[in-house]
Amino acid sequence: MANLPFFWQTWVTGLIVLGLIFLLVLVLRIYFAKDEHEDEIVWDGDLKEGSAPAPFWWFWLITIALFYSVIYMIFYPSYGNYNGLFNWTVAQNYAESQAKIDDEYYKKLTLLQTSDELSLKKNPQAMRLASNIYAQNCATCHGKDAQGQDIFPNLIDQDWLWGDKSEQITHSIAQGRKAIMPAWGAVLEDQAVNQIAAYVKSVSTKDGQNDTKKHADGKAKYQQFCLGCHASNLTGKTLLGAADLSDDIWLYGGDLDAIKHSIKFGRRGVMPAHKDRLDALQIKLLTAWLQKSRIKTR
Amino acid sequence: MEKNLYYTDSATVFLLFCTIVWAIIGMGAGVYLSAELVMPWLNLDIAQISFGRLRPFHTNAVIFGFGGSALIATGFYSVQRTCHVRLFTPKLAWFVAIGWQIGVAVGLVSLLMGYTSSKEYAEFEWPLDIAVALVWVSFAVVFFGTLATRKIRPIYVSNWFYGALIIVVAMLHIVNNLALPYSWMQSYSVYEGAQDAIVQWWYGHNAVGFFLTAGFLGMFYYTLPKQAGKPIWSYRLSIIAFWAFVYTYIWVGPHHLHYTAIPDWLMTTAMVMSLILLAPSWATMVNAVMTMSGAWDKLRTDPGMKFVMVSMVFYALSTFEGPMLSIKSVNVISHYTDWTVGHVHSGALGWNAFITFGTIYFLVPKLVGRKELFSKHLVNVHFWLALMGVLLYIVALWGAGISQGIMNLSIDDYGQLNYSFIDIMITTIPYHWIRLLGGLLFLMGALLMAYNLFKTFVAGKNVMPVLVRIPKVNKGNEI
Amino acid sequence: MTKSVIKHLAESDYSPAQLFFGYSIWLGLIPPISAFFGTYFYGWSLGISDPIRLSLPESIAISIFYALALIAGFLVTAFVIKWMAKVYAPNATLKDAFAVVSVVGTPIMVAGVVHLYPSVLFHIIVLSPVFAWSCYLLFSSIPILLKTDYDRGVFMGCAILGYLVTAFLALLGVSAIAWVYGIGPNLGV
Repeated sequence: MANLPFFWQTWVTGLIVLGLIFLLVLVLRIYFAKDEHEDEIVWDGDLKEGSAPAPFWWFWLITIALFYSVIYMIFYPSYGNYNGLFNWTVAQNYAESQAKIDDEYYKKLTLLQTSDELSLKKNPQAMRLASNIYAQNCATCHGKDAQGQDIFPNLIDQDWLWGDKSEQITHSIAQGRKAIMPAWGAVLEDQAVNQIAAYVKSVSTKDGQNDTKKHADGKAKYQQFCLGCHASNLTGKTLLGAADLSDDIWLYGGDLDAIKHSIKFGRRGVMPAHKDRLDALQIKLLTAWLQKSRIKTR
Repeated sequence: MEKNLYYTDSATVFLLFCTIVWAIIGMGAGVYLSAELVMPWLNLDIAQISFGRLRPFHTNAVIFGFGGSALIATGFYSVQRTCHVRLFTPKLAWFVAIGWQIGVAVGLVSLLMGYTSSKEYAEFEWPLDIAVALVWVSFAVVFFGTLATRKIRPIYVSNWFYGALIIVVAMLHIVNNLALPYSWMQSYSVYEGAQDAIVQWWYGHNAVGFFLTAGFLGMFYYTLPKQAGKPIWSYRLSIIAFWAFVYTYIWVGPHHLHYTAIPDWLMTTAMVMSLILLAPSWATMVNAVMTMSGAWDKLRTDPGMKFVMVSMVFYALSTFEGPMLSIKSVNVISHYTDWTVGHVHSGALGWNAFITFGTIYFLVPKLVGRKELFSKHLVNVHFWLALMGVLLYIVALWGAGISQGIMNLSIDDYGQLNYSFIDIMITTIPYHWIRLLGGLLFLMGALLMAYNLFKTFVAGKNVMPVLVRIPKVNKGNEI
Repeated sequence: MTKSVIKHLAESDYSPAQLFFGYSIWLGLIPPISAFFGTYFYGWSLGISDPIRLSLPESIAISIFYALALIAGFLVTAFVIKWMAKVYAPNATLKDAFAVVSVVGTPIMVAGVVHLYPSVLFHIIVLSPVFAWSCYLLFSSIPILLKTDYDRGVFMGCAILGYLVTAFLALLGVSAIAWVYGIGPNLGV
């Protein structure tokens, strides 16, 4: 923190010291003043001022406050550049506080760090800690219950864009992900887009997918353009973050118009990298917690 | 008719009328605002009544509309009578009265339209700041002109407080609002970063201290002894109350910025000066209590007296709570929580609004030439509604604030934060419902007051304007 | 508390000690004992948090401190009332002051059973009408117990109310300082 220049240092010190002395003198004069019998002043009709003395307890209230302040300002930083006998600063106070907390919980955290995933999942306190970490860092986008909202995926359903193995989840959190669905409108005409969309929807809702005649064109075009990323049975590829189109779980909307939009204009999703925000233990805890929290459908 | 033989009160009557209107508008906005917090759909997707715009509308309407009009009204009323002279340039006084209303109203509309300097309690953009400054300077001319031409030599204590209000608020307003204009309704403050924060809160707290406290103390020191019919108990206490108050208050601003990126010595100084400030504030309380202690019987005949009496209770409470919240350790818990909001409203509702209500109930019958108000019973109903309202409000926000404070800092068995922001919000909701109820009761009381005063005015309008002859000054006290 | 009970208290000549040890202190034990059960067996929750449980020694210690604080608060308030009475009610004795605190405190102490379910919100909802009732008792019993007239009684009531709210706030502040220095909930400071 830069020091005050001499002029302002003197200014501040002078104002404080002189001010407090002035107050003390005023208090003493007022408290010990003899009752002066001035001609009674009447301002407005019956508006007058009495000459009662200050109460005893009030005198001590202000005197103690003044002395306490002077003593406090000897020990704590005041008067501009004076650091106080305690050499206290906010920055140091924070650092000490943080160090104390780190010390206190060091052993417990180390224990967690050396635990494997299975025992973490069995440790209710660790799982509670994980849910705290989730609430502080992830809930804003992925929702309070990890069930997602708008364009942020549901993290506890059965559909994992990038895979549900520990390394995959850890990678998603630490390094982040960029999911890009290209805009096929530049290549396909509207008719083709509609056909593919209808086919995909029929497969995912299991509604008339076996009607090979109805969706023949769509299926053929799918195999030409989409199969490379989304696989022949529409189950997607976690390596590419290509969505599983065969379940009825949709990130950007499952109605026909939304699917057409996805195909024609593409989609782009970004999971920011958290490796600088969260340490390895936090990410490990989150991974374990997400796996454990998965809603069981079977 | 020789005009100079009579006081001039027409501007005062106008301003008191405006005070009541602003009370309804400002407090109504406050109630709607608290309703929006628990029922967000109430913003009806209209930007102008969304929380972000309505909140500064509310603060400016109650502080400057309601409080400002009340202060100018009572300032004009009391300075004449304590100086035994007609107001200096009554025409300028009318300019102040009308100019203030226009300035505040236009400013409030600009806030709803989204123009803001984003400095708390100083949100008006630069053209309005200039307009307000012009009106304020005129107020200074009228007030100090009256003092300069006074016929009675000693200056009564309420005038010191009004004088301090005028001078210090002018300084605060000008310094904090210094900005480089970019367009008609946009400007950039000359301050940045930590400096801006410090200047802003030097202004912010002293706006509360001088506008909402010193000015209202001026109102109080006139109303109480007149209403009680008893002299102010101790002149000596009022001297120290004034000087210690004026000196220490200026320093306390940085207590809004404890543990933030400001110099450590500012935090220390703000804390100790806030602690010392308790004493002069309680000196006024002592003066009030002892003055009233001789006037028991007035309670039966004068229901407005209850407001003045209880305003002192809340003044004592708020001026105790303030220094307490300035203690760094307490501030760790209370900062960024609803405890601060509770504190603001215990002062604003319990002290400022109550003393204004008491004063208005006292002055209006006199000004409209009636012996009494239209209904004393309504004043009592108003009192109990207002008291219940403010107590519910404070207790609800103490609960909310303490919960938030603990939840903000609570750590679990691994030293990690226990509660997310969302958790804390959910915990706060029920307290906000109770607070809304408190505010509603308070607003209902104010509406009753408006009705009562309107009926009083209607009953008296044939007798208005009431001409009060300026009495002679006692021997020995003349100029 | 019927008017007859209050009148009887006013006219009787118990000593302060008789009143305190015969009535007040027993009522005053209800909140600390309820608090012990609530804190140890259930745990305090703030809104949606999991209940914070304390160990047996901690719960007992807090209850004892609570009881001592109530006794201290009772005595201080009684002496403050006696001191204020010099101005507002010159005929009041110390026993009258004890009587005021006992009468006004009765609903609050009885409602102390609310500590058995330690949720801050539940407390506020239940205790608000209780405090309103105590407030009413304050204003209605002062003229009788302190032997003063109605108007002075109202002033005195306001003064006592002001003292009580300020004392409560001071307690809140002291608690906050205690928490920050580590006594109480586990805070990251």
